[in-house]
Amino acid sequence: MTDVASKEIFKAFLLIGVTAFGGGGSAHVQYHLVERLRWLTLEEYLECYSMVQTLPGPTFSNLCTHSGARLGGWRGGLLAMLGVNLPGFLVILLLALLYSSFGGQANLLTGFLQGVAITAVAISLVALARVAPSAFQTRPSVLLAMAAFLANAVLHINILWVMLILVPIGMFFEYQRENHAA
Amino acid sequence: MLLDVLLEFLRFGVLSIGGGFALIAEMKRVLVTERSWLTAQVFIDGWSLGQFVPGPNMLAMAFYGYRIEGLLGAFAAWFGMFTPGIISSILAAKAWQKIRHSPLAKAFRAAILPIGFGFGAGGVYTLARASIVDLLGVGLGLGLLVLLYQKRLTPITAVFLGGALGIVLKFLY
Repeated sequence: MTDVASKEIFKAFLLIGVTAFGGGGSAHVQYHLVERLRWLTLEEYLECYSMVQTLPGPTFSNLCTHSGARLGGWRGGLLAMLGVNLPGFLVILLLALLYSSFGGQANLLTGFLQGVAITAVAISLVALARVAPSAFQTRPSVLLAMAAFLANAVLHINILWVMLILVPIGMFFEYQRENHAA
Repeated sequence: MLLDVLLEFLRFGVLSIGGGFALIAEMKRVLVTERSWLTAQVFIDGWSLGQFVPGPNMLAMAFYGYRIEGLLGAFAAWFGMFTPGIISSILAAKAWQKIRHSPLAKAFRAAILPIGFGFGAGGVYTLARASIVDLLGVGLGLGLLVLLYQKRLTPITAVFLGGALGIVLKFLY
């Protein structure tokens, strides 16, 4: 993990804040921080992504704040948060102002949104494929990932409960493995 | 009133562990039914606009705040929803720097990496089920997937390409 200047952190997250929309924002963070800027390794990125799942508040904003703080302390965290929130905040204020007077362009907007949402699926799949080797370093890790997927996406169990149950199981597997190796 | 807005959204911000999506029903109950601050239609429209704007889709909160209490309301709602996450994200980063070499932290890390991957896959699955509704959608998704993976198209280019193709398809069919 590299120490990065505050200005660079703000610039990187501002770019993410302008271009990441339609869902799947974390894939953009992965692309910029890991592939383009090489500030984080794939593993460090996945560590940040996994950790913010346990925190309160909007996950995407938290992912940016947390990785910003790892790169540049609390100042980096705040600047990352500002960069990623500011553009959208201004846009949604503008839309709130215009809210009563739009309509009519609905086809254009829904078409664009549908296209962007499908793009988000493709972007996220590629991001998942790239990060998979970091996630699956041991055999039990595949089972843990499958359990988390099922609990979250199919059974719709609150993420906090899933974490409280699966994390100790995963830690137990890891201790067993370490003891065998030793 | 402004303080009420701040406190309600602060409550959402604290409760929404693992993201805001888990709280949609609760937000609607409070904002539409209990407080009568928003109509159901405004609530839904605000939610869609949150998906549309760049950055966190929870920026919908700023839209709600604006409808309730104007510009200051927008700031209060945003502040309430986002501050608990900002503080805990920074504290988590600080704490992790200190403990990350301990055996307990290493085991924790080994456990959360695959679990986080599972949540990520769950997110993509949910997104795919909501956005890909016909064969055209499947085709568009696969085409973009090839461009992104094989041709190393950047996500930024892909978003605008996908959005433009979405408009074209909308007008053709």
